Amino acid sequence: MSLLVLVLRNISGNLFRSGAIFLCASLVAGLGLSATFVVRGAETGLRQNLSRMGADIIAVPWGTMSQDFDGAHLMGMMTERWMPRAYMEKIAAVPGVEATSPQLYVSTWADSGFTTRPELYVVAYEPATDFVLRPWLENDPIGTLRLGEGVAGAAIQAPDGGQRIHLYGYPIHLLRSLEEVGGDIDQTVFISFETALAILEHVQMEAQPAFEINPHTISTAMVKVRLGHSPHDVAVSILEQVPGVLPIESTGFFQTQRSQMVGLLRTVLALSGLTWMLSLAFMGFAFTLAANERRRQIGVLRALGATRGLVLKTLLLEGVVLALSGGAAGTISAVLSAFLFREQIARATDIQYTLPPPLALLGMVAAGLVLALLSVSAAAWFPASRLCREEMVVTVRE
Amino acid sequence: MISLQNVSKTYSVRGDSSVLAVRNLTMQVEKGEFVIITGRSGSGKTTLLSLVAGLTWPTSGQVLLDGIEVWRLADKEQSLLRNKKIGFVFQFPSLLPTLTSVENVLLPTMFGDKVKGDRSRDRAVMLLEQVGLNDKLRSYPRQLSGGQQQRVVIARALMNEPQLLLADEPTSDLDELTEHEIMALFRNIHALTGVTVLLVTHSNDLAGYGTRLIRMAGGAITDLDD
Repeated sequence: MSLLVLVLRNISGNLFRSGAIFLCASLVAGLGLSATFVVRGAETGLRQNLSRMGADIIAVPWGTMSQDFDGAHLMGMMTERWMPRAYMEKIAAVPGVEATSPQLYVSTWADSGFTTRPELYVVAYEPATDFVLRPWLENDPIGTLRLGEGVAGAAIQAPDGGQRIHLYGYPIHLLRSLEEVGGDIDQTVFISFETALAILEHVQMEAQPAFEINPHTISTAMVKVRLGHSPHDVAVSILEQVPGVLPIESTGFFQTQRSQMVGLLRTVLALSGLTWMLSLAFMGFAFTLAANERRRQIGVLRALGATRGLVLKTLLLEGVVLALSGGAAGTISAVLSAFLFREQIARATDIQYTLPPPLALLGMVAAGLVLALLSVSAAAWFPASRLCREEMVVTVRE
Repeated sequence: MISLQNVSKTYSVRGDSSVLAVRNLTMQVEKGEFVIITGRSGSGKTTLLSLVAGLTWPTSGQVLLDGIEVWRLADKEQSLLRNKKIGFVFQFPSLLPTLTSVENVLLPTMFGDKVKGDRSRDRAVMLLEQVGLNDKLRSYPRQLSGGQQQRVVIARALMNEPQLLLADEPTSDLDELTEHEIMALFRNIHALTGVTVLLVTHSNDLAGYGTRLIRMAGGAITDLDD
């Protein structure tokens, strides 16, 4: 007879209680790990978005309302304000500016038929100087866009599975589709300034033009700051040296997205914490019931020569076995769920939800198990130690 | 072997009230005796047994087992002493329901080093055969009758070759026939091993199985019958 055999027999002897504790440990570990995946996914997504954004500052026409900044991080501002293209040179001349690239918000097209979303946005950009979209096309570069060519957001679909769409009657050949980013960029068609001009001329020929813009203006100047320079200082310099321009630092664009993510993460963490606390309370209750139910048995063990420490060890070992097995089941479920349902979860939460690299995953699984172990041990400790401290004659006689 | 000098034991019950379970009791038990303690419920028999085993401490007086005050020992020494020297037979079903007969008998070997390894299993089987359960080695308590369960408990109590066997109402839940079978078993074990037996019962009919009878009432000894 060994201690482990005794513990395993105790576990199998009360399947309901053991099952309930197993489930709690599984929930604690599984939810803990899932929450870590979500947090990590959100962080990765945010970091990737930042790296892919390219622009440290966007410069927009003075008077652009702050609420318009959302969604501008990759496709410029959808604004009814424009500024002369000549501003680009002034901005480029500001100390600390490494690169600039213009963007022109052309129009918003409701019910275009090319996307399931309510609106389609048309934005012109300059492929030669662009550093914003390029990172999204790194694996499949397009070189330069010719007249009538475009790059589509992930939610844009050409009819019949083809590559041709018509923007206000003007044919556009879609060279590439961008990866799904989440947000307005997915429903945007990017074209060159040359194509934008052609569309504008085409639209002007109609009796009632769908939109009107000055083709020699831009709506946004994307600015990349030189390494070692503070984007804030450069933004201040632009503000001082280029009148009529409002520079916005990149962190500003992300505020809404970041606050949404922070909100989501807080919800996930709060739910995980709540589940953990409920599980802890439930496990504590289950262990208290188990300890009371087995008072006499524990008294017998003590009478047969088991020390307080050994009895405590037996009760805690029971918890450890249940915690490790439940924790293992929970972490395996979490990993399997992350693997099998990653796309659905990503769609539902609008964040990246992918499995981390094997070594990091191993670390997270270990952390999940440790969490389950600590939770179960904490829940088992109080009733077990209280029972071990009781006078033996009381335990035996009750 | 056992010496009690002016021993009293009071239990506190809910707040200020208390119950005097044993009152100024003095007695000696020599090695090899088979002492039967009788008395009605609440006469202090079980408390006396608990005091001897060190399961509780006296409110006043002195309880010595082989010259040692067991309850004063540290937990580890106390446990080791109980494991090596004392065998318990309880009034209530005290077998672990998740263990087989053999495993239950082997239980005391987990807590000490007196009998270990293959020898322990052989001894457990031998003891179960001795109590007439050679065909129930792998049975679980739920598969045994009350009498059979008590036989397993007796085998378990003998596992570590104790010097003292403490039995608290071992036949209280059994029918008359089984009661006498179990008592006969105690008598045989005593005769064979020479172990000191202290057996508590409320039944006067069982007095004849021991070598000495002690009657208790109201926490005190009323009659010593050698």
